[in-house]
Amino acid sequence: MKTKRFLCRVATMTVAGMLCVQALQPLTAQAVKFPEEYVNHKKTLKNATLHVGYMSDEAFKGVFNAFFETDSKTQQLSTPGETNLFKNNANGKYVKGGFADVKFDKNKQTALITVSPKARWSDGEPVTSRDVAFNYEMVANKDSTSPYYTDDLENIVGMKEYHEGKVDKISGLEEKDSKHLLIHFRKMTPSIEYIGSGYLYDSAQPYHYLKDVPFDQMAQSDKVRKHPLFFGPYKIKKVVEGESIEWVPNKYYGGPKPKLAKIVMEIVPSVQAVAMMRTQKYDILMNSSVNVYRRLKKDKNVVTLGSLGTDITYLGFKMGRTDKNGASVIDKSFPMSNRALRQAVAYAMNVRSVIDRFGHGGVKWANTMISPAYGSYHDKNVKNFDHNMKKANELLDEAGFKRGKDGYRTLPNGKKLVLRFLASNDGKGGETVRSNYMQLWKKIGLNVKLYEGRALDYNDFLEDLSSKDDFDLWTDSWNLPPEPTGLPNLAYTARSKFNYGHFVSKENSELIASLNSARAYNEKYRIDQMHKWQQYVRKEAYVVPIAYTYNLETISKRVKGMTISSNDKRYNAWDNVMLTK
Amino acid sequence: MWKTILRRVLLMIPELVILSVVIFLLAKLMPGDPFTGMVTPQTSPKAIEALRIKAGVYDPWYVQYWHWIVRMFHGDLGMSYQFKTPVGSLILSRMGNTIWLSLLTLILSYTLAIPLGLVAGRYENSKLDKAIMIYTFVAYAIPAFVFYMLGIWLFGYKLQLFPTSGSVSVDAIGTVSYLLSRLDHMILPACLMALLSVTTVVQYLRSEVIDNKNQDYVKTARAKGVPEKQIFTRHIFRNSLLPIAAFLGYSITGLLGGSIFIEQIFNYPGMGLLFMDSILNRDYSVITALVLLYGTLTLIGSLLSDIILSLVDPRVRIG
Repeated sequence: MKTKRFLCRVATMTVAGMLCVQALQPLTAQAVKFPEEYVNHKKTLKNATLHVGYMSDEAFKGVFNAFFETDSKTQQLSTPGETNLFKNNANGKYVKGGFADVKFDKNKQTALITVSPKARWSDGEPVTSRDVAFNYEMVANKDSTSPYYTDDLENIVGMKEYHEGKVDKISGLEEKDSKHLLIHFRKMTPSIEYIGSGYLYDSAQPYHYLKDVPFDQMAQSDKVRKHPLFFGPYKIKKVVEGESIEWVPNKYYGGPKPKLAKIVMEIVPSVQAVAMMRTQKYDILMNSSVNVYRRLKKDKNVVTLGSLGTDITYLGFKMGRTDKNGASVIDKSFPMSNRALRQAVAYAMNVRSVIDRFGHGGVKWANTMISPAYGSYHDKNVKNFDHNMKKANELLDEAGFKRGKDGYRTLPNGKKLVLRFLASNDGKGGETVRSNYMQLWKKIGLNVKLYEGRALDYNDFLEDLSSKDDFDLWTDSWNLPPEPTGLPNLAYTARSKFNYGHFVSKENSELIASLNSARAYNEKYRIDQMHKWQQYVRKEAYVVPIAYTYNLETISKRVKGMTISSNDKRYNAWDNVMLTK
Repeated sequence: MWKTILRRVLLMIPELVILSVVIFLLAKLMPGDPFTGMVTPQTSPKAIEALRIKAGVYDPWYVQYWHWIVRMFHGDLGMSYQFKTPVGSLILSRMGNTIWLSLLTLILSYTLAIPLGLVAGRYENSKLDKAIMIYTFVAYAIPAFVFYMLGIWLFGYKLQLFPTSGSVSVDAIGTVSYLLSRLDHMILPACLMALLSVTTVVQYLRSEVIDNKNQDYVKTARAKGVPEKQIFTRHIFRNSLLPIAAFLGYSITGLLGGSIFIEQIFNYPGMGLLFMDSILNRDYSVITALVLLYGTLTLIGSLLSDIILSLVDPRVRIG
């Protein structure tokens, strides 16, 4: 089911974990093309109840508010009600026709939001400009426990002062009337025109309903956990904490009339998911996996839908450190600061074979850090690092990494070279893939050892990744915001806290800066610059893209009108879901 | 005896203090903190850092420990970072699920195990005894995970007799319907757990019965002409129950522990699943509260077992 929310958690795991490897299971290479939509011409049932399972071994946390929830399960389970305010095109750019429209004035640095009269909360109250302004108060109030306040928000006039508790009102939010909100920015960049910019929220909060709840009590209040309001096609009737949610149609919904009488969503333990779908206990299995797909692909009653997500799994290199001012700098004493070494490491990897053999169609070999899910922003012409041991050896020879008597290469200055690989523990499958890469690196003479001698617990891994400098390479993945320039801005600028590799160069900085320069309001220029950045990353190999992931949902063939395409033009894809015999 | 109980209770105080320090320090030694997983491109490291400072993550351990203890004495176990709700109410909400499931399991388990153990002991080496022994060996050897999955497959999918996940149906409306739905959801996991957990009790009871059969008091009773049935029900049974009684204290406090396996397989949100979730998400406040609760229960369980034993067997005097 389409989810356009941008406050999503990072899905962080190594490539091996993501590939859902069934170690030692022989498989031939196979390309799988998942449909994004299932076309069903059978007659629709009236007053039907749709049963939805969400595959997870943990309870959902149940805070039905995007600004306080950090649990992706709850976020996905709230999609029948949670609806975006604006519409966007395939590139993520806002277009007209949503429950609100936004008009930007680049000269005055303002955004005028006009809320449609069609937008009404599930208690019948209209969605107002106050509700849109309340988004910002909810996240920025000094008492708020939301983790989502960012520096980007301080682009809004008066936001910083409000966040620090110096003023009671955000001066840059001007409520013209009940339907119009004018937002004044200090600095507006082209990213604001896209979903997920980080400082223009695409949602609304029911002020009339939540105004009496203190911000520090919001996440635990029943108004958010048990009886939340939505302006989407369905509203919550009942929640069994951590287990299930019952949705019924929201009669005030401004879009097409919802087609189902009821939606029952339940958490399904992963060990039971396949059997549950086989016995048709559920019509839809959310958060499905490649393993479920493999086991059910011959079942005549179900079909697996898939759409490529924005996630990217990558191989990162530690090339430097932060200086005393907190900016990244390249340190030549770090082996990976050598471009030839980075390229050789990438050429030695047999990613295509690993994906063909273990990916089962659920992942796609990545050629750039920007997924095809970003539409035109993805540069399909960038070449993958194809497995090429000869080229890898040549690069190392030319760069002066000579082989010693023990078969391992030394640094160009003759010192011993041992690369430390920071890895997280993702099971037997992950170990198999990791060992495979380490063996290939050994074949080109690189002595690669696991950091701390083992794959680390994931929390340990994250802590080391963000705080230590004594490792050389790692694999991890990002689940990115829908704004296409989000990744370079968030993870590859000199000032970014997420620039764990610390790569910096004049050209890189200029390219990233150009993505949100005044000229970049011209989308063609912005796309061109984005392509140039992807080509530059390929040339410098300061990060190596490995795989994109498909978001999968397994559905029964009784379901009608279902799509998981991110290009769906509806207000909310659930309003068209039906059930047939 | 009251004096002894009082002494044992007083002794529990330093034990609990030491336990709480150990638990607190071990939790702090775990890599990462509750905010580690919140680091995303959409969150600001500054905001996360502010939350860390607000939560006192950087305070010295003894300061954090002191705050924790003081709050605990005020009935405040802190907030769960993951569930965004007070730890006390979170544990209470899960405790209900766990107690009901464990109680049903305990009743089923003892109802099944006591007759099986007695019969096996009384008719030692008979076909019935051998059948019971084979069952206990199989139950002991079979991985719990496999057994539960087989049970789900047979009773849940094939025969469709019971629901296979959750603790209550979302559309159960009204008290009666709600209670019936809860019972319906508990029967399968409780039966499966009970079928596996009878092993120890059956084996203990059987060997006790066999031992007691040859004791002098049994021979005397037989010599006096007491009917065989009465010898077993009145004499041997009571004496054979002694080791079982020793378990009972732990079993009662164990009701609150929950089972990670069964709760995960059935998605039954009890204490076991909560414990697992909290560890995976580094939800310190929940972890420390739960471990302290389990530790306290173990100490109480030990005391209860001693008391029960002394009540069942007047020869035993705790002290």
